[in-house]
Amino acid sequence: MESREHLEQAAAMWIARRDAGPWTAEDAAALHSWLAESAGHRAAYYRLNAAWHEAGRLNALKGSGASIGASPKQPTGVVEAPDSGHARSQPRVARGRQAIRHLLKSAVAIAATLLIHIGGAAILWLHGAHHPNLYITALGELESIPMPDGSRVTLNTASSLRIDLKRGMRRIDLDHGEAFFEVAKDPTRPFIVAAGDRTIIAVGTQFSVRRENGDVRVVVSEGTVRMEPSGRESTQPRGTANALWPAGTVALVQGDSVLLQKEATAEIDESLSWRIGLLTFHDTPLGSVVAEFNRYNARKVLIQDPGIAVIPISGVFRATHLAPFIHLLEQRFAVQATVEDDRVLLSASERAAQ
Amino acid sequence: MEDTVEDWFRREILPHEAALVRFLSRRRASPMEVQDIRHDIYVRVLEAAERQRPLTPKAFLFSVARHLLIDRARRERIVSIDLRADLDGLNLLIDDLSPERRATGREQLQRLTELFERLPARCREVVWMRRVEDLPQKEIARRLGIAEATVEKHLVRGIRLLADALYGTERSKRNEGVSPLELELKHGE
Repeated sequence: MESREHLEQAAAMWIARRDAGPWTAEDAAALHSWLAESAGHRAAYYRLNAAWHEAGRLNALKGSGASIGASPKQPTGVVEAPDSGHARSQPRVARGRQAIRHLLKSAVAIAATLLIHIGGAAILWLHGAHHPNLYITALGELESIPMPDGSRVTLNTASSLRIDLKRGMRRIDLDHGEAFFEVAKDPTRPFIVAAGDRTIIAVGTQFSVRRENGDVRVVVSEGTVRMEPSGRESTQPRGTANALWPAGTVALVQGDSVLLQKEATAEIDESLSWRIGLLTFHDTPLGSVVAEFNRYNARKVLIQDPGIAVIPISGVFRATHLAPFIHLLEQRFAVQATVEDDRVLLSASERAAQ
Repeated sequence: MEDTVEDWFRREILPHEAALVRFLSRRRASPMEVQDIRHDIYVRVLEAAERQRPLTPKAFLFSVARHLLIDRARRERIVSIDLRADLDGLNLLIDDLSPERRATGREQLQRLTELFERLPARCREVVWMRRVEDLPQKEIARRLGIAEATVEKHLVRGIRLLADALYGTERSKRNEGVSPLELELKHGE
């Protein structure tokens, strides 16, 4: 009878090995074998794997707020705060308490700071530097945030934003991810959503903003919104920069270009079905469907045969439930799924599609 | 492919580990024994769940815990009336029915940060660089000036400590903030 100590050590070594890579099919098979040997193996492994997985979430949450730069060997690290004007010219941080005091002095009113000491240097997460209302969702999470002014924000998977309500303005900074906004009417205070170098201004409405890899996608479900480049100066000709987008607009902003589409209410609702944890597809290429699922699930779906990426998929699925989707693919399409510990591989199956 | 037992275990059982360990610690002096019993409980819960998922996981977990403690007490011939009364008298119903408050993203971030803080320095560096900065082991070894095998050693240790910090106890006053696993590892070295 193996001791718990022995089991946990073995399980930890499996996880470390898998993490270090390369991880071959034989390795995966060996791990499965080991797991199959006893419930004791499985218990130790599941527990350690869960914590390891959880620690990895810090990676997902990292995108918001500060960037971390401190190598243990080098005495200097650079910490950048989000958009606070002072922090832009953040000085280099040397190791030690003095450096931290220096940093703290130059960053204004840090409301929620988290200090992690790595290799002798303190890595400062300047979260919410004078933006105390930071909201973050983890992968697959959905959070509904009521605002004091009566508005409501629904935050989608792996997203981060900050809410700042002042007397003359209601401002949201979307650091990354996607959120849906139901804006309460308040003529005295414009409602603005800053997504990088674009700002969306709401004129009594409901709309979603998604910010990812520098692109911004806006879906207007009710009322009207307007988009401007962030910051005072506008490099765009007035017309395009301040065009009003009515309900039914889907706008995709990439760099300087804006692609506008008009969709019917039903279609708009479908593309916003994530608000109730559902993903809706209409003849959407499998490649795009998979990419969408991967936004919500730690277990990633990967397409091994590029040929199947174009298969059009229609349906409504629970965002965080891969099983029914995979099942459907296998049953109704010429797709074969290989389920592994941390991913699902899709390939073309020999069977013809039904 | 169903919602796997692993997913179920992670979602329904692990969040109760701190409460479970508290429960066990009140009845056993040695932190190491507590961890052993915890493991045994998990094994039984898993075996049962693999056959059929319990409807009320938390209640089931504590039921298994109680039975296991009684079993052990019988084997050790320490059957004190107090112990029996204690176990039977436990009223977990209220606890079982109240849903755990879902931690907000920010609370999660806070908790994760504290988690890292609880790792020993070198271990923390390695886990951070691997898990958060996503550096390959080779690179970590190079930056820290240690062998790759040592990096892996720290990772292995870190994986175990993370689980302990995340699911296990709050700092025990007796050990002044050192987790049972830490103690164990220290004794082992």
